[in-house]
Amino acid sequence: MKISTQQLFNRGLEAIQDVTAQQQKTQLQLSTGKKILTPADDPVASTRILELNQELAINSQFQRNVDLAEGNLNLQDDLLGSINSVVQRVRELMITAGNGALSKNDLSAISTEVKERLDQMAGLLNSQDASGEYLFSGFQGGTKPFQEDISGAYAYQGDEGKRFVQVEPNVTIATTQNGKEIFQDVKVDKNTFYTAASPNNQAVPAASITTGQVIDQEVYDEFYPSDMTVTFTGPNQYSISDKSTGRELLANQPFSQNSPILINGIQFEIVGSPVVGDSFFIESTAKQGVLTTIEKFIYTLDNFAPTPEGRAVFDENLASSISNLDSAETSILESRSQIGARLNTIETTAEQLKDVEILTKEILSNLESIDYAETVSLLSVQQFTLEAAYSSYSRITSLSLFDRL
Amino acid sequence: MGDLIGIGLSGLRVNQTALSVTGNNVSNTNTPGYSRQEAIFVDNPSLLTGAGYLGQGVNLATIRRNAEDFINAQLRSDTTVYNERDVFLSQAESVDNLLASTSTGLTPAMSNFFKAFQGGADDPTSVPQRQLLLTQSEGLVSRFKSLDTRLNAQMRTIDFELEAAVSEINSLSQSLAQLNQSIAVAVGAGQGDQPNALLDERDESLRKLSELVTVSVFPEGQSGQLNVFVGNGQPLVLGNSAAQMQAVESPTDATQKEVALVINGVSNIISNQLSGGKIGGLLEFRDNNLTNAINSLGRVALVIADTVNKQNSLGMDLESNLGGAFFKDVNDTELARSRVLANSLNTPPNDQQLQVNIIDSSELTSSDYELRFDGPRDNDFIVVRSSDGETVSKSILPGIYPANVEMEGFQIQFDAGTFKVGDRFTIRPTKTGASDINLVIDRVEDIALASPIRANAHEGNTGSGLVSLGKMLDVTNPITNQVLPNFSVPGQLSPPLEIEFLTDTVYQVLDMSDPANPVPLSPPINNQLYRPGVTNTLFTADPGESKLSALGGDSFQVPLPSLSTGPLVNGFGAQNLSLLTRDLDTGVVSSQNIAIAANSSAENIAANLQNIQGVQATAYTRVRLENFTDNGDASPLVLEINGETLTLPSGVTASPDALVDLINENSILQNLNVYAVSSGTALEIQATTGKDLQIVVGGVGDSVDVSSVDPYNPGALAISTQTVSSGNGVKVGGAIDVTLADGISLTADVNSVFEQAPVGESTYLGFQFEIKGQPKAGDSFTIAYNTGGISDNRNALDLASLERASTIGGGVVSYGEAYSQIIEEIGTVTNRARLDTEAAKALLTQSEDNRESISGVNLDEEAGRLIQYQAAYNASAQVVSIARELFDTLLNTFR
Repeated sequence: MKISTQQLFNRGLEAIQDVTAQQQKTQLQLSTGKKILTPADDPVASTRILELNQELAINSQFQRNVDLAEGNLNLQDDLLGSINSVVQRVRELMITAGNGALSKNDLSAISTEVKERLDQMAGLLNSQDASGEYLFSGFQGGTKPFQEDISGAYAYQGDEGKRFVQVEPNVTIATTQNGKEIFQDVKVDKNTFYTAASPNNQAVPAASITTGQVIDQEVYDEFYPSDMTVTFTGPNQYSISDKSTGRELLANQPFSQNSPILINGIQFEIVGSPVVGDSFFIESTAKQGVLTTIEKFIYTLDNFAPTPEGRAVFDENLASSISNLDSAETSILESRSQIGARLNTIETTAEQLKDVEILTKEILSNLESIDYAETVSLLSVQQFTLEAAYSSYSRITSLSLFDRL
Repeated sequence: MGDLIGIGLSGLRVNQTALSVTGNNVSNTNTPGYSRQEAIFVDNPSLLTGAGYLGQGVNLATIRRNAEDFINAQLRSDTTVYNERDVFLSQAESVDNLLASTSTGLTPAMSNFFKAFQGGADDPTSVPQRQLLLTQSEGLVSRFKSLDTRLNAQMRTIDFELEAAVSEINSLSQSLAQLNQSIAVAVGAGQGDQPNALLDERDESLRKLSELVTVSVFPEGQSGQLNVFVGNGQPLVLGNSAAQMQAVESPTDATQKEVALVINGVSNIISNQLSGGKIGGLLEFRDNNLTNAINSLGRVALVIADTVNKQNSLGMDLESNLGGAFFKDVNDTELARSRVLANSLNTPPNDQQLQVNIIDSSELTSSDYELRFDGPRDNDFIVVRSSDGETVSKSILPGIYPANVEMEGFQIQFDAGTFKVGDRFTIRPTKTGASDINLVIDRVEDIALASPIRANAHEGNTGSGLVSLGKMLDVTNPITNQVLPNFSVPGQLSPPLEIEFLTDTVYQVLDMSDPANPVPLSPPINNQLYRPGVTNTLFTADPGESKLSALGGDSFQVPLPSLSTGPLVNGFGAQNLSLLTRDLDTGVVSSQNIAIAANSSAENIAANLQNIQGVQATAYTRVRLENFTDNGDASPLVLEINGETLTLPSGVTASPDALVDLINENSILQNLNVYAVSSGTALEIQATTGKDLQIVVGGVGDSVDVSSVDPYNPGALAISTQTVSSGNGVKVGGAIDVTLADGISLTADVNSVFEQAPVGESTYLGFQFEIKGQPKAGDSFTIAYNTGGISDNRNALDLASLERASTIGGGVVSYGEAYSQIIEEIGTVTNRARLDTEAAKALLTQSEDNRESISGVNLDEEAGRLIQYQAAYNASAQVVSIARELFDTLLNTFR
């Protein structure tokens, strides 16, 4: 077949261009270290690479979450440790107070320290993290979880919220605990109650209800677990009813400020000037917050009557306080062991995440990284080819019969 | 001798010409389209002499052009294919590079966006973290927009290239027509000799034309003219006249160009008939791959906007308000209208107003659609999916506006206008998705990382019941699109709820607006069964569920028959109930009937209703006994409840407090699920499964007041109190609460137990909670608005989990996977185009080689020919010289 002169030149040049383009690609592969330069080079592998990179990004986020969770949990663990040591100090004071030889003055000295310990404890329970969020108030991070009400008793203001972080696909771990489950829901040895004012009360300033105490446990146990509602039915006049059955327990009693209301073996006071329609709740419970336990201990210390009967009441209340404080300590320890368990899980998760990361990177590198030895030798082959093409081109094109004419 | 001179001269002349032809070949070595020419020699006719026929020298028959029509045709066809693949490849490579590059692709921006949500979940109150979230959202939006801009710019580039190709075609077809004319003239004048240069020029023009589009070439008789056709036989050049091509605005989308051919002054769009060449490659890439890439990208953006908006609106922001839209609403009127384009050829007055709303973004495809009014009547229409030509909807306009038709995740809303047979509309649900995405949230506080609801166990609870944190489903009812009543007041749950356990296994949910006085909800959630040991889900997930209640209808009364008149009855009338079930997918309505006999107990009626799929019924009976009047004689007041005589110890008079324990400790009554509560003055007896409560009073001259309690308004009594005196009894029937799933309705033939057409109230609250463990009677849980819940990260976790959720393509792939699919598709297309281009290039090279081997000029060959002809010329000269010498010799002989 005849080869035209044009063809001779064109084909030679095209061949050189082809090799140059191949060499350029090899050079790019070498300089980026990647086999696949655009998805078209290997559509399936490049999609996989994209997915693996996404997986790596998520993995790194999970690792960050794990670190944060670990930090948070460690912080809480330290805090619970400090709280526990306060609890232990108060328990020591309780044991000391049980010494029958102590005088009223000695007891009041103990009371002074316990009051300080109470404030210290409340301070710890109201701890904030670095960004100012309260650690133990559930979802309401902006609300101080343990606040003194008008009557000076600490009440829990938070909720039962718990924050989770994602540490693995489909796995979340709680990084916070609310104050209610650790410090409030503490089982006590005797049935007790707590008081609250209805949020719908209209009196300005709002009237409050004191913590109150059980005066006659036997009578109260009979009423337990029913709850009571105090409703103001007229000016300075109130009725008390059983919350669930509606049974009227006391009807239209005259109300005078600060004078104790006694019913079903318990005693409490309503402070302020409630208006008609205001209501207060007395809720039976077998649980008592650790702060309340300490408050009740203070009440016991402060109201010690140096008579045989007084001593008997004192001893009974003290025994109850010690037992309740022990329950609180157990609850705190349970929380700490839960935190420990979570920290364990987190550690395992962190290792798993690392393993997955290494594995993913390995797959990724198999897919996208070049084999340097192979590519470099390819480059030299291409170089050699190109040089051969150059020299053959110039030789062939320089041949012409016209030169011989 | 004269012969010899003549013969020599003919050799001189002919070889000189041959040398010219060769010289012409040499000088045209590099002329594109040039075909090598060859001088064809013939020997002159011989002269008959005595010795026989004597040759008369040589003559030039013609100058032949070395060209083969079939090889040229092959070359044109291979040129067409190669140019088509080549232009397709260069377009595809540009998209390929754009999408996958880490600096221009979507993946890094998307991954950072969701990372920021994870960060928000880690620390929901942190303002810098929220700021980062906004910044990353802006980053995502701008990445979508820049990708979209680049892809649309490529669309424009393709249009420009189409315009350029069309004008090139026009100039080529023009010159072909002129060449045809010149050739016809030259062929006539040449009397059989071919105008070689003109033919070369015409072949080269045809080759250039075939770079642009597939052409078919046919000779026009013997005139030497060629006719050129494009597409399906549309004439481009006929003899010496050329048709004009145009790049015109597409009737379906004015921003896009189509190729039209003007025949007899009428412009016809022939884009869909053109193939091959640059035009074919450009159109193919634009209409299939580029449009699909833009749509698919738009779909990812649209689904992200839609799902993130939905999730954010289910949350609560840093200021305890419900979260709103995060991105611009995908059904914003302006956006919805822009998804419909009216065809410019529609029948005037073009007053139609339509819009396309996104109904379910997960069901969207990446295809465009065409709404066609193909007749036979003006209001008959079909919707055709452009990707495969499938008809996805076929319907009739009802003539009343607004009218809706739903398909494949979207809804066409007809607002106004007149529609005529032949009208067409292009529907593009996803095309503008990536350019429409816009951030509307601009304050860091507005990001809803918390959930608006929370549940608390009552501190006084004695059981082990645990309530979950709750799951938000909706803030607006998805069926009516109205805000759910419980979220209608900002910053609170209306009403807050209390879950109260009446017994260990029966609970009710109450409106806790006044904590001192919880009241039943409307519709009520009374007498709910709690199953210990499993997770109990509270509230429905069915937005269409409704509830209706019956207090026994008109016959709900306490009759006062005397014991002696026979068995006591509850007085409920007979009734036929029919339950209509409309299948939500097919719309088919089926009906089921229940016949209720007179005096059936509420428990029986509920059990009958419960048998029907989608119907839940609960029945319960409540009776209040008051004013226990014992006249103090020898026969004390004795009560008999459902046949159980309650015998008090002697000396104890009947009173609520005395009777309550007798009832609650009676094992037979316990088995009947009957229990009592005393308020000191009144005794309330409940049958939690809805059994009739029959109360018979014994003891001479004694009486008790019996009333039936309205369970929906416990303060009021359902009927006026009846005094039942000794020897008499009453039977009280219960209430029935019926919950109907979406699509079910109930009617009755007479007003008896149920109203004839009772109206159900929606039970959908938009959230669900779970309770597990073993609560005790008296335990309660509250569900309230999450006021101040700034540390809550539940919604942030849900937002972050959208990254991996299957939200696209019928809920099959995630955002990232959908984007990978686009890349994989373009990658595959580019990869295939590369191979195709290489193959086409090889074929083209072969065709070129074939042509070159025939028509090409080889300088060595020409050099050889030059020597050859020169030698012949020299020899011919020698012949002449010898003839002259012979002549001289002869002359000298006579001198």
